[in-house]
Amino acid sequence: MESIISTMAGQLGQVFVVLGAALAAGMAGSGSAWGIGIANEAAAGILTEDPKKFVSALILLALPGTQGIYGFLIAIIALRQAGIMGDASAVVTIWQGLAIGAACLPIAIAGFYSAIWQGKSSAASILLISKRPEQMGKAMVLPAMCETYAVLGLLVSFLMLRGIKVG
Amino acid sequence: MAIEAMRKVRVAAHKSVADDVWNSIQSIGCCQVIPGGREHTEERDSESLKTRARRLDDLLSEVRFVMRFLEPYAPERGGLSRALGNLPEYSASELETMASREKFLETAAAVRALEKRALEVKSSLSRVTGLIASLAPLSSLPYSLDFYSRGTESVQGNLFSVPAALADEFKSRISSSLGEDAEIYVSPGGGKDAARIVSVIYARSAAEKLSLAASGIQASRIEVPPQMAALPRDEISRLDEELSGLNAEEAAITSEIKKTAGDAWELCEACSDKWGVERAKLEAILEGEHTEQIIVESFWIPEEKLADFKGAVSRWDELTDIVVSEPEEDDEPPVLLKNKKYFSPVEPLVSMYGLPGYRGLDPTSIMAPFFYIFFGICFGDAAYGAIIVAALMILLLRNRVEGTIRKFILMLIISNICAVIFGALTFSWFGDSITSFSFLRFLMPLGHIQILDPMNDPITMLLVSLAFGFVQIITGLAIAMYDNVRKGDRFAAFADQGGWIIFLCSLVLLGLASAGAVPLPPGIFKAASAIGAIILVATQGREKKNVLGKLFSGVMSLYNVTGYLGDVLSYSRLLALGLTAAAIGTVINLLTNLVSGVPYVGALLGLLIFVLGHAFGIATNVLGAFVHSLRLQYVEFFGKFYTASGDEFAPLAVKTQYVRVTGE
Repeated sequence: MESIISTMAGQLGQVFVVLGAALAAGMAGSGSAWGIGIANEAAAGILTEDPKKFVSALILLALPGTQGIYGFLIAIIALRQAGIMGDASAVVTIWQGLAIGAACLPIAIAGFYSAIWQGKSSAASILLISKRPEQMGKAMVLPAMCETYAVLGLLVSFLMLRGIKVG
Repeated sequence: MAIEAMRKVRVAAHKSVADDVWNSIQSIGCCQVIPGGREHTEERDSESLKTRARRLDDLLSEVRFVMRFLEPYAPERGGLSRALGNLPEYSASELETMASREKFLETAAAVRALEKRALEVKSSLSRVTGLIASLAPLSSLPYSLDFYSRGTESVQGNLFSVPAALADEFKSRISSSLGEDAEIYVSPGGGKDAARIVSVIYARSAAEKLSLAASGIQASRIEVPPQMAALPRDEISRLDEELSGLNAEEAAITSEIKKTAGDAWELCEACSDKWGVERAKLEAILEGEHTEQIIVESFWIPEEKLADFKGAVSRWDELTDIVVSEPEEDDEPPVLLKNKKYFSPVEPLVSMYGLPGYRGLDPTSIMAPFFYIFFGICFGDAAYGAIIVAALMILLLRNRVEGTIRKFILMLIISNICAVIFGALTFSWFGDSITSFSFLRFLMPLGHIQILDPMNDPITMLLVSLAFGFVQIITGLAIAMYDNVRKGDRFAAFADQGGWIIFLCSLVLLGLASAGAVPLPPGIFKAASAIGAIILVATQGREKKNVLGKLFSGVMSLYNVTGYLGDVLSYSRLLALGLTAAAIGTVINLLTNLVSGVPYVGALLGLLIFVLGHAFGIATNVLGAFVHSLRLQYVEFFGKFYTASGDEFAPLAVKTQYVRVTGE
């Protein structure tokens, strides 16, 4: 019995890390896919009117894609820190694993929601450039307002991960 | 930091030389028409010009039609290369000969005729395919179709489509009702056809009986077009022949259109540009004031171009008159930015936000270094930056890129040079490739210039980012202060910006002094921040009427410090985006190392992942770095001092789409 518990304890830390990494990559990625999908509808719409706007539309609809990358990054950093990827010598305790898993949450949550809303902003910006193509600068900056909070989420996740000492 | 000084010139020219004068004004391309003269013109004085303009409009709309029609078949013209400014070059006189009106009208007539023929063939095609489709179910019918379309003197035929299950019942009903008066044929069903074709040939006298018998059952009558006479299968084969004839005709027309497009496309491009330029000139002339003999028009012209202008117009000295004057108090001249070589590339970014007013401040030169550095930090990889710099340099050297696109590319080159510098300072070359691949270890000495390590020591980098932000925000306040002084509102400069600058700077210094980073007692900064706060409390409520309101507004204004805090924290994105670039690079190197252990194909797979992965890294990071550096300028920086209220300087010039006009 004792040995089962200690084996569990030895592995549970890693499980929490995997859970956190799964949430970071999965949720932020879903949010990005969702956001890009929303922007895509607007882009396809304006392309029926003017196919020459493809490049501008593509740039705008790519904007909500960064959250997925942020989530992916945090997932990889978390997995490396816990020794699941790369250097396998690190051993995480339950508490360290739980902390690493929790550190993945800011980008998972902020990434998911900000990407969806950024997708809506991108869609609106795409409609903007369909009428006023010369306003591309403003059209790019407006969706970036939403992304700010994903950037902050990424930063907090990163600082948390850096703060957890595994040894 | 400059906005080009503008002068107003008033040109009066005799009508006999008007065309030449406006031609030369157009070719120097630095005069913007000031509208308004048109209203003082009598209808008869500008009638002949208006007629010319109308004729040109007709021609231009014909050109547009012809080009739209021929475009799918036009010869390949290298769209990207053209967008980069590689247009065929002609002198003005060459263009004049190329854009021959007669030749174009010939082409246009040919194209109109082709269009008509193509339309006719298209409608015949759809008619014939429709007929074939409607005759297809009747193909097995053993009677000529003229029984059904016309009939004979005593006999008439009808065709019905009847559901297969009801066919026998239908037949027996009719034969019992009409008896000898009708000959009935039911098409052999089969296959997936759920309906049978029933032919009834009957004596005309029995017509009423038939319609009575047929009405009781679910049968629909099939109409046969009157021109159909022969056996259905003969008709079908005749139509098939007609169809293949039409198809051949269509192919012939298409190849004729292709040939016309190949022959006439250049002509159309020349005509479109030549007449477009001509039309713009006429529009400019028509905007002026016309009398019986002369045309008077005013222009905005950059002061430094005045000499060019006078030189160009002096040829008609006796028939023209020029008056130059300064802009008046209530004039709003157009805005042309003028900046030093290394700053002017960010001008397009300023005009994307909106140009400053003529009497406002041009933020370009102050914003430029911040933008370059921020982009460098966000992109943050030396190898990525170097690749983009090299690619854009080649692009710039190989092509004749001009105007806004050239500035844009130069802006990206300088920004990416900053990325190389910053990447070198953080030892980021394709992420951590130098440490993660053993065969790159010989590059380790590059690590000696590393002064920052954002991956392992993010806090230092965060402080650097916030410090940049603080500096930019204080710069913004300082510019607003300067602007207020310039406008003569010294009190607002002292109270609105001076108060905040003292307050914010001393707060930061107080923090640094408490942490021991500044070798001065914190008390000094406490006192200084108190002074700043007192200035703000005392002045920020000055709009309010009573003392209580003034005091309340003054105290409340201190809450704006949270706004400044938020602005500064927004610069933490510099660290975050820099980290993303470095981390993506690191992850790609990690994956490369993982797959390169695969037997046999490992090296190849590794190379593939390395190249594709880093290409992806460049694409996503360059977009993010650009957008976020721009946002910091637009939102955090411009918000402090900048109002965009100017109109762009849009001179009358030789604007072409397809060719470049050089010299006379």
